[in-house]
Formats: sequence, C-alpha cells, structure tokens
Amino acid sequence: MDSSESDMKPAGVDLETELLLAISERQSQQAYAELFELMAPKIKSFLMGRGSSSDESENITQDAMLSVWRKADLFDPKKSSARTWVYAIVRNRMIDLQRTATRINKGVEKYKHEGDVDSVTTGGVTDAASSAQLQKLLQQLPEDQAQVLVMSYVEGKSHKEIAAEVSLPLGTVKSRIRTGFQHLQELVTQQ
Amino acid sequence: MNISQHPDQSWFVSYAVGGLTPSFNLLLQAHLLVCPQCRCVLKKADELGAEFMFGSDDTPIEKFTMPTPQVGARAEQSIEWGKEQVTDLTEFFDHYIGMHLDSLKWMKAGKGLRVCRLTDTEEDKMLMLRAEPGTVLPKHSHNGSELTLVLKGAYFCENAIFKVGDIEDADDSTLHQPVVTAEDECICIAAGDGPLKFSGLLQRMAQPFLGI
Repeated sequence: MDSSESDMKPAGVDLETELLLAISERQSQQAYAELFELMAPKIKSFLMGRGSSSDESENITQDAMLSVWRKADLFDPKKSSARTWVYAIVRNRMIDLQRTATRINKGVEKYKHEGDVDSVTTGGVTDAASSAQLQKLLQQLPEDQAQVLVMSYVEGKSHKEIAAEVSLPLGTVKSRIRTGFQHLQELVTQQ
Repeated sequence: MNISQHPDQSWFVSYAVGGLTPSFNLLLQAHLLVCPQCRCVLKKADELGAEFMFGSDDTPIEKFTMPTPQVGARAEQSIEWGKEQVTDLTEFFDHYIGMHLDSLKWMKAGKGLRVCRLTDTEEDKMLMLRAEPGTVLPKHSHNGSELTLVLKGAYFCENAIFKVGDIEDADDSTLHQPVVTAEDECICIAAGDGPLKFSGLLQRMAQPFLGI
C-alpha cells in the first residue's frame, strides 16, 4: 500500500508545513491533495462565517489553494508556519476581490447600529473564536479588547464599522485593537 | 529608506482581516514595501488570523472539488512580509495609476497647493497632493480616518516630520496643519473614508469643487 505524504512527517514540523514543503520541493500532487483536504474546508467555513455566500467562499478558497500550489516555492518555513502563509494568501485574495465584489452583509446598512441583541456585545465574545486554545487566551484579555479583536477577525469589520456598532470614537477603537493585539501576542509568547 | 512614522498597529489587524477599503489597502501596501517594522506587525496579525482560521479542532464535514493544479505553473509574487526588496514608491504608484505623476490632471487648491482626486466615492477616497516648498496647508480635521503617505519631499506636522515612505495616521480627533519643508516640493497620497473638516470659511466653500 502506498504511504501518504503525511506518514513521512518528521518530528518538530507541523503537518501542513511538511505537506507544503513536499509541494515546494517535489511538486507532489499527493501532498497538495492532502493539504487541500486539511485546509480548504476550514477556509471556506471561516469565509462563510464572515457572511460570504457558499459559492463565493468556495471560489475564494479554490483560487487561494491554486495560488498555494503556484507560489509554494516561495514558502520559507524559517519565516512562518504553513498556516500563517496560507492565511496571508487567502487574505490577499479577499483584498484583490474587494475592488469589485460586495460582501453580502454590507451595503446600505453598512454602518447600522446592531442594537442590544448581539452575541459579541452580550458576553459571547470568546465563543466566536474557534480554537479552544484561542478561546482560552481571549478569556484572559479584558472584555473590551477581546470584543474588538473578535469583531475584526471573525466578522471582518473595519475600525469605522466597529466604532459605529459599539458607539465609541475611532481613536478608542484603534487603541483597544492595538492593546488587545499586543496583549494577545504576549500571552502567546508566554505559552 | 529610513522610515520613522508608522500607522497605528490596529491598521495591520484590519488589513490582515481584509476589512479595509481599497484605498487604505493600497497605502498600507506601499508602506509595507519600504517598512520592515510594519511587515513584522502584519506577520503577527496574520499569525493570529491563521489561529482564527485553522485553529479549530473541528474539521467541517463539507468537502468540495479540488481544482487540479498544473505542473509547471509557478510563482507570481510573494506575500508582503515575505518580500526582501525595497521598491521605489514613485514607481509603485506610477504602475498603480497607470501614468507618471506629472501627467495627472492637477487642480489648483490654494497658494502652492494642487490636488488630484483618484476615486469617486466619499467612503473610499484617494487624493494626490502636490505642494511647493514652504507651503502651509489649511488647518483641518476629518470625518473618519485618513492615512497620508509621502512620495516625495517632506512636511512638518504636530512636532513631527514626515518623509518619503512615512505615513501620518489621523482621525476625527486630529486637528492639524501640515507645513511643507523649504527644500523641495512635497507629493503625498492620502486615503480616507469621509470628507475633511476645514477650519477656514474659504476652504469650506471651495471643498465641493475640489472634491476633498
């Protein structure tokens, strides 16, 4: 029986990084298929959580994963993990599309105040973060910092949108994002 | 290029989540080309984003078709923090705008100052400013955020000097009056998501005609 690329994973390197290196060094289509199976559903699920339609999320995911294949030889495991590198590719694909596309949760009601019924503003902040580890870290942040980070990362909101939603000046929102972001990095470093 | 003025780190969180307008994205991309310090900030913001995207222990059940990769079809360009090379910012904007700065349709906007608007909407505004040496710009504030990137020359503002590659980060709490240094003309590109608020009556009257 053929062994999969993931069976050949050396110690100390995460699976995604190992698969990406196999694509980079050997143009391994088998590694690509395994990486696709690991990452693509999570990318699509993340994008749909932002309010993109299923079709739109699938298209962005497929475009991004093809870019992963095309750019694999630019991946440097000394600079980042595969997850961070792929995240940046997905983000850049979103930025490219943004010039022409309109996200379905935007538009006329873009800056509308959401009122009181909002999981983000009623204590459900950390539930919105998917990873158990990340939830644990977010719980260690002051509530107001965790709130704006989740509104940024999970909901993809701009400073202006967050400021309108939580009824705070732009400067306060920027300060909370920056402080929460720095605080979270310190917590990650301490782990 | 020695960069000394940077946008607030919160901008790179918003950039990393794809939550900015195209004009803000473009200015930050240009700054990232010449600023290793902000590339590090963006990388950390991406690491956090990767944790949000891939950190879940639950793999979604839904599967979909994998596009077939083509052997031999390889690299385009790297991502921001993977780049090593510093690129000339004027060339970056010549390429983006599609013509050299000298060919733009500049409008006179006061003594020593010309402007050229590059976008049509107030929510995603991009403006080029070209000021002669020593020009004192009108005192103003903002409705929303504004990032200003220096492409040529330098200006003073609020006890700081902004040089090529630097970004000034202003919002509705900022009231400022940039003054161009005496040595050279200054060319800047500004991105905003709301109109300016001028202190002077003349500037307020001229504002609709200039589209600023």
